[in-house]
Amino acid sequence: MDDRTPILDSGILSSLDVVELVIFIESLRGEEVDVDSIEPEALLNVDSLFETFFKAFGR
Amino acid sequence: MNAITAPPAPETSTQLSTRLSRASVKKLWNVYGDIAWPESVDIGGEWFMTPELVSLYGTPAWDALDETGRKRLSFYDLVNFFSLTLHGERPLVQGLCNQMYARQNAEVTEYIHHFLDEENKHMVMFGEFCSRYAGKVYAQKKLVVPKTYAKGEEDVTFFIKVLIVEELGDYYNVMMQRDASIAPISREINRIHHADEARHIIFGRRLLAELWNEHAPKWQPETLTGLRTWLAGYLKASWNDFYNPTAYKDAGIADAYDARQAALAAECCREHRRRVSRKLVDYFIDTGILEAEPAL
Repeated sequence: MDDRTPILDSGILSSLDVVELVIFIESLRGEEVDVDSIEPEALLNVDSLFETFFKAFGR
Repeated sequence: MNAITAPPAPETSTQLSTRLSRASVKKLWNVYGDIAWPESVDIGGEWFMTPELVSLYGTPAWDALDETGRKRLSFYDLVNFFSLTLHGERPLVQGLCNQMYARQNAEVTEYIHHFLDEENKHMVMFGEFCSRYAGKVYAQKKLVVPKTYAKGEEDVTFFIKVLIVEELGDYYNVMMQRDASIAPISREINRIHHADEARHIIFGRRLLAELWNEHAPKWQPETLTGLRTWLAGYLKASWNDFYNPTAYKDAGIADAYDARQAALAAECCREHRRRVSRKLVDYFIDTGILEAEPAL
């Protein structure tokens, strides 16, 4: 597994785990994530998660 | 000599629907006129949930709060409870529309019209409470991922979701409608919700059992295993929604995410989740939908 491994398609996480993932991201960012604005591609892999949720924050 | 009589045949979903429709008509209520909304509520000055039902009850975060802090948390936890119930009812309404007229069963369809009417009124009621007193409905964080189903599996899955959102919530409604120490508006909303949900739960249980008996025997073993794994995960995820760090932040708890993790791991909270889920889990086991109690 690496940062480009698909996390949902490969079964590492299920759709039910997404809530916990989003709350974990919020805890790292210190602010809420607007789930309605998330594009499915954002949850593709670790790289896309970083690009979507952390890069703009300089973390 | 005593006469031996055969036990009465179990009521079918058709007969049940007729009876429930009659009860819904008799108990019809008006969401726009029947609730006396107070101008304001005293956040921090009164209880909004029974303390034992507040999600952090018994955890170190709860122990660290004074009474005002606990009452304040009970308000935001109630807003979260109403918000998650509202979000649980949204797909339910969508799914019920798909069930109407689908079975060529006039009695079931007639009751689904009542079911939908009542669910819509519940959403109005919950939304009004949250918007009026908290200024918002908490967002849900669930994402729907498309899935391919075996024949009948989507309907079974749908009614499992119906029962989970309704039965967990109903435990809270029953407890709080009886609790004279909480704010009257909270008691009233819990009372109204329970009155309708009692019928919805009876209906959902009967229909799910019938759907399960019709479809599950024809499924491949991997479909059965997959559904049972999903159900256990869905029940756990539904419980996790009761622990909302945004509500904790609004209540003034600084380390909201840590408080959530601690509550999810606390034995007292796990025991609470098991206790509240017991009737529902027993039903799933009795019908054969689950084989064993899932970890919560």
